[in-house]
Amino acid sequence: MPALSLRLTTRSPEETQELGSRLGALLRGGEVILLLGDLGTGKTTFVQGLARGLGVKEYTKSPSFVLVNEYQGRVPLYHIDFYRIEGGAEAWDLGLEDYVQGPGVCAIEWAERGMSALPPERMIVRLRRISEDQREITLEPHGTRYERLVAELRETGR
Amino acid sequence: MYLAIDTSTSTAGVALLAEDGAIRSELTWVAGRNHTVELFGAIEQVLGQGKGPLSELRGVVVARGPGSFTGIRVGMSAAKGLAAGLGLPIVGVSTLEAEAIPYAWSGLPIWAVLDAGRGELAAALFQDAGSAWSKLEEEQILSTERLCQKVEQHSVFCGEMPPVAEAYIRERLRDQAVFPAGPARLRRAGYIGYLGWMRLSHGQSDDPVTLAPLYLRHPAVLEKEGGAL
Ligand SMILES: Nc1ncnc2c1ncn2[C@@H]1O[C@H](COP(=O)(O)OP(=O)(O)OP(=O)(O)O)[C@@H](O)[C@H]1O
Ligand SMILES: [Mg+2]
Repeated sequence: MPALSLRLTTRSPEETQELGSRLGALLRGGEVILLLGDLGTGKTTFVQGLARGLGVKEYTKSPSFVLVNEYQGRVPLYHIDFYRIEGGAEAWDLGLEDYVQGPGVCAIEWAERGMSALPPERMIVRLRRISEDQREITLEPHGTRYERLVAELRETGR
Repeated sequence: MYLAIDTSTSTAGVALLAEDGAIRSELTWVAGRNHTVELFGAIEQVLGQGKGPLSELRGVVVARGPGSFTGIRVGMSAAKGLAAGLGLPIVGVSTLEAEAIPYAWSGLPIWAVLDAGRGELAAALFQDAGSAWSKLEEEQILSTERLCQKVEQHSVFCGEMPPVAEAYIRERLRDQAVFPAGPARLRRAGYIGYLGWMRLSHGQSDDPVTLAPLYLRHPAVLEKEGGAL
């Protein structure tokens, strides 16, 4: 685990959402957050928290990119799922770049299926199932902007 | 008359050209990400101002990119819809060629660029050598450094250049790089229309079924991948 990473264990879906929400509250737009973890580890649960932290109230369906759900918050949240993607080329050809370059926050589940289409600066969130109700969550920043976010998150956790 | 539509980037444009290629009206505006909402109003405005009723249109020209994925598709589907609805021929034009053509008279190599994001550029090279206007390098994504390595002589640099890229090119190429000033850099649908008119007025057009956006893929993007990280 890289030195600047933050690792903790949540004991319920609510706790995972709470962590997502704390991160969401710190985002300014333009961030890329990749969620890695097996089926049912809590990626979507974490993104629900992100949405709350970003002040998302209403739900809209993205018109042009079927793998994206776009939410309006303080800044837009693009909730993207690579589950059915095979390789970066497919993600790219579906117009991913407009979201990555967009004003909002990209939260991408199953990002490992199209990693090459994603920018090198990003926050990786790894989720691992420990037991029925426990998840080990590691926030791994890549790039100074994300390192700062993790540092701020540590502050708010005190 | 011919209608030209360009929604390649956040700067959008619509132009109406007469039978002889002369511009009758033209509109350029910053659409941001609102192409879908703003395009049809702009088309109505340009047709009205240019006194070109739909019934007098003889062809539709559209910018194919490179540029923003969503942006290009908005213009492309609008142009295809109009062409199909009115039974008109359609022509797709390279957005970078439209950036370069205003400087054809210089006789110099012309690098037209757009911001491809992540510190890279979409670029193509054109030149009017003698009497033939030609594309010397296809549209591609490359770093500013790589672009500079390709420059061998006095060249024009135009297009929507990110300020960091411009500073780098100026620093590295010095007098070899010529930059048009200020408003001259604005991409104009009039030039999209002009490039399309050259083909349409010679009876050429594209197949509306196969005409596709010119959407460049970043070279680092892989076809297949996956597995653990
Ligand atoms: N500590 C926890 N954090 C998150 N989810 C938890 C936790 N404990 C139990 N759960 C349960 O795990 C499930 C997580 O589902 P979720 O849809 O968030 O997973 P996912 O990683 O998005 O799955 P998929 O790979 O199918 O997209 C939920 O049913 C949730 O109630
Ligand atoms: Mg999920």
